[in-house]
Amino acid sequence: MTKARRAAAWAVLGSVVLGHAVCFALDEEAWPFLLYPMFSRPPRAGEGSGVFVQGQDAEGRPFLFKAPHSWPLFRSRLAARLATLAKSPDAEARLDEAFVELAALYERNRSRHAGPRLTQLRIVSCRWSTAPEALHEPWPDACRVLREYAVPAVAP
Amino acid sequence: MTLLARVEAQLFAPSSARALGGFRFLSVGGLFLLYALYAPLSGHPDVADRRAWADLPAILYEPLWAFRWLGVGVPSSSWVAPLWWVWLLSLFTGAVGLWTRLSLVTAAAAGFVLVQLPHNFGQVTHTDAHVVLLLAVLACARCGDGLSVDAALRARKGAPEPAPSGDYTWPVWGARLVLVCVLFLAGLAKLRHAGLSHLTTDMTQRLLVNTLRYFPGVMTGPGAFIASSDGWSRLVMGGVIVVELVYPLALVSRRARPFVALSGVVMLVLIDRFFALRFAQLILAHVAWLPFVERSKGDEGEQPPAARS
Repeated sequence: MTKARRAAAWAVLGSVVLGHAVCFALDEEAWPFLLYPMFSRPPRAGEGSGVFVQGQDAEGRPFLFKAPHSWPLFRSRLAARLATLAKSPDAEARLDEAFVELAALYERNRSRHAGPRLTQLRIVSCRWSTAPEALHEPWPDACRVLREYAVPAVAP
Repeated sequence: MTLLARVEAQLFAPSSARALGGFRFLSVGGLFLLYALYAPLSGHPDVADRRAWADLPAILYEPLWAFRWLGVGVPSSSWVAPLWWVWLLSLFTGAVGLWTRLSLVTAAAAGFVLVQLPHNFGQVTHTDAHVVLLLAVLACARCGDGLSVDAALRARKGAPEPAPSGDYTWPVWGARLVLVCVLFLAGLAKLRHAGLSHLTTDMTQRLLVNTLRYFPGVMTGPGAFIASSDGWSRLVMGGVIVVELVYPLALVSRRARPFVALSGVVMLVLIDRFFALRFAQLILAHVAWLPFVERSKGDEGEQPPAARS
């Protein structure tokens, strides 16, 4: 094995370690160098919280978006992005834009779900208890509407 | 012998080209099967066909540093679909060792874009980044010298089989190092953010209850049972933290290696099955610990400097 090859091998292995070490020191991820913090942070104030998309059918019944409705964006990914938009300086305009796109995505995913025709979309901020006794209670415990959008009726 | 000399002796101890070829076949072939066959059936978007991530709403696109730096706009099916097929093809040719170097460089480059694609939409999940690092290590190595179509074609032309060399050893250690980074950092993160609270308070049970309520129905019976018991939650988390923190021992102790690697696999399989966190790629990466991928018995050939001295 030549010296040059040996040096190249050290450079490759060193990059793997250094990339992760720098991210660890800065407590910041730079994909693909990640810190793997799954299940490491306690839920804040002993409760869970999140931002969700809520649809409403023609009878006025609300339902939370599930993965097939917004495929391939599953609930937590969508929640994270919506939470970012809700905190942005032009939150209202950006959430309105998201409504239009989410209504289109819901219809585009018709092959994956048999959801009702949407009449309204809401972005809601929800909270729920993480106490063990709440395990079998309906979820989430309480939701607050952040923004609403009336979905335009589409001709059949 | 200095520490550096010991490390060099380990990293560059001569192995056969066939041993590294076997590792390439198992790991890259496994990735091909995972993304081409298993992923479409799994129903989990993070391992699904990456073409599903094209043409999504621009407002939901939040590019990570690499996509920002590369100027990648909202992923469009005009390039995601062809790149997906190129990636699968390069994984296949890389696995069988046809145009090995080109295949693995292509697989690493295309994988860098495709594997991180979902993470540019709101949230980074932590199940597959190591795939790109593994492919990058293999792309830099002489993976096609043994147990490959390339090697068979060279042999037909009368070329002799390459002698055992450190060239065929360090890539396996590179793959092991990637796994150690992943699991050890996961253990460190728990200590960093919560100290010993996972074990001294009901934090673990609350985390599990939170997941159960957020994703109702996804945890299987044993997962739900563990979440319903504070004692079991602490015990299971204690086991997870121990496995993650002792994982680096597999790099330095030949005796501990099989036990540590096996406990890593068992832990990941149980979490995958009971708690619905998809760790198929990480489980697959554990082929790096199989003893035959490091060296072949009776290998002789050039010796590392430390061994010579």
